[in-house]
Amino acid sequence: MNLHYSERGVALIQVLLLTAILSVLVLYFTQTSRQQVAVAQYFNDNTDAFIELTNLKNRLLFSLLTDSRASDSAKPNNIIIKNFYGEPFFIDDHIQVTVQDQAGLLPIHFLNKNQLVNMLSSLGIQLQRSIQISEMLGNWLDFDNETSNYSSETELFGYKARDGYVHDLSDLLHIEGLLPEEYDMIRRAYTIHYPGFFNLALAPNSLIKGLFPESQFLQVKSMRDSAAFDSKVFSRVTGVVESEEMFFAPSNLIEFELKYIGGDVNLHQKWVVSLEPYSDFRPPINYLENRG
Amino acid sequence: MQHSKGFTIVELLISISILSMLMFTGSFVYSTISNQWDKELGEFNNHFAEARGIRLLDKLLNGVMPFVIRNSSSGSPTMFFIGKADRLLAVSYGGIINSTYPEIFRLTVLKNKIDKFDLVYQATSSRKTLLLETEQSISFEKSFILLKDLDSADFEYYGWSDFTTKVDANFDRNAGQIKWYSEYSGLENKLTPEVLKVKLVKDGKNLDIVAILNFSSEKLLQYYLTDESTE
Repeated sequence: MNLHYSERGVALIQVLLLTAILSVLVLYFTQTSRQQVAVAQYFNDNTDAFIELTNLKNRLLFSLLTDSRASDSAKPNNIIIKNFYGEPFFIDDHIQVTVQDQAGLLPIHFLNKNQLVNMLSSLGIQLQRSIQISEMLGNWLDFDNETSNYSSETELFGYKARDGYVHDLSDLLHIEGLLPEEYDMIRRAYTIHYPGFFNLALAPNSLIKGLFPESQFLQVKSMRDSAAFDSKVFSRVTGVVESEEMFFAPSNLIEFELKYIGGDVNLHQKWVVSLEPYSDFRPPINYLENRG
Repeated sequence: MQHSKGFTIVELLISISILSMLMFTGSFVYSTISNQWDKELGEFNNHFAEARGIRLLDKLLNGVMPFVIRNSSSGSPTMFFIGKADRLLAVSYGGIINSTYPEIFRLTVLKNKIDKFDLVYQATSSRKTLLLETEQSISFEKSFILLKDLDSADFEYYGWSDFTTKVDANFDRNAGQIKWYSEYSGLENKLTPEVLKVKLVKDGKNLDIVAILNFSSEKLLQYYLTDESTE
């Protein structure tokens, strides 16, 4: 009897040993396989999202080049762009689109200090501080090294100012003393791209709020929400009329942003383009900013 | 009875031999399969890193922007862009470290230990570095290999020879010719190229990454001709 038990025991140990080896191997394979599948799946989803966004970008550009913005109608199969004042809208369940005509933003390179002071004051910054900010911005952008008090900008900032073209609004974050929340207000209202005129009817809601009384802002917003909005309505509500710099026309400088929101993928792309559909010796699309 | 309780030495030797063979076979199979798996895992990781590197490089190059700085001695505006066949120094909206802010970067093709080439990325965020003039030293905060073990990597630039020719060509098509260069200096030409291409070869396979850039970089310099920046 003992002999039989002993033989069974040896066989059992062998089986257990082999099972343990095989189990370790299988567990290791399973774990790494899972990791590989997860990584491959993520990359695959990301690539699918990227292709979808690229496809949508091209369709959007085609629509921008071929549809007339003077009329509401879009050509068959073209994407209907719901607004040009930066209000996000969904093309399908997972792609959010934001389109902003650059004429609807204030041009940072042609800074109107009074306009900036009014806007900052309306958004809750104290008048004295708003004037100070406008001075700081002016000194950062202008070409000389003197402040309005004829002192040195280098001394004011502690280092040399840009004194030239700002390539990205984040450049303003280098201004000593400009607070992040103040920068954020400026970032939402200004652009580095200037089409040569300003069209307040295409300004984002945040800028309308900063430039007009609350009642007018609410009226504009409510009409925008109800889609009963155009430049005539805007002019009637706000009293703004066309002038040398204010022109109620769409510009050819468009910023558009695409966000893919789905599953684990969160892809975000942004471009600023200059469109010249009728140019005969230049490409019709010039990418001024490509954050694709 | 006593005889039947124990094992003979032959039985023991046979069973130990069988067990050893089993153990040896088991561990050999384990290590073989495990190594094979690790190798495949390594290949998978390499492919993944390569695909990721190509995607990031594409994004980086397409985001290259005309960036005006001032000449340290004369104060005149010029373009921050130095492109050679084996390296590129520029600013991009599509930075790899942090794409929230434009990134000042340098891509360099370097020979590695196995006589292949690595594409090395060095960068600093424009949030940290205020780039203003030509003689300014730039310290890159991050540096890593973007693509490795390439057979070759060559940069090419499609652009105008200089600012004046480009501006003239906007009015007169016969003023000059846009063409491909193996070197392109924005500091000298006062322009950035309109197209940027990097030709990658790995294991005999070719891949060209082509980036269409802002083709009106001259407008940024024209801004400096008139001081209308503030009212």
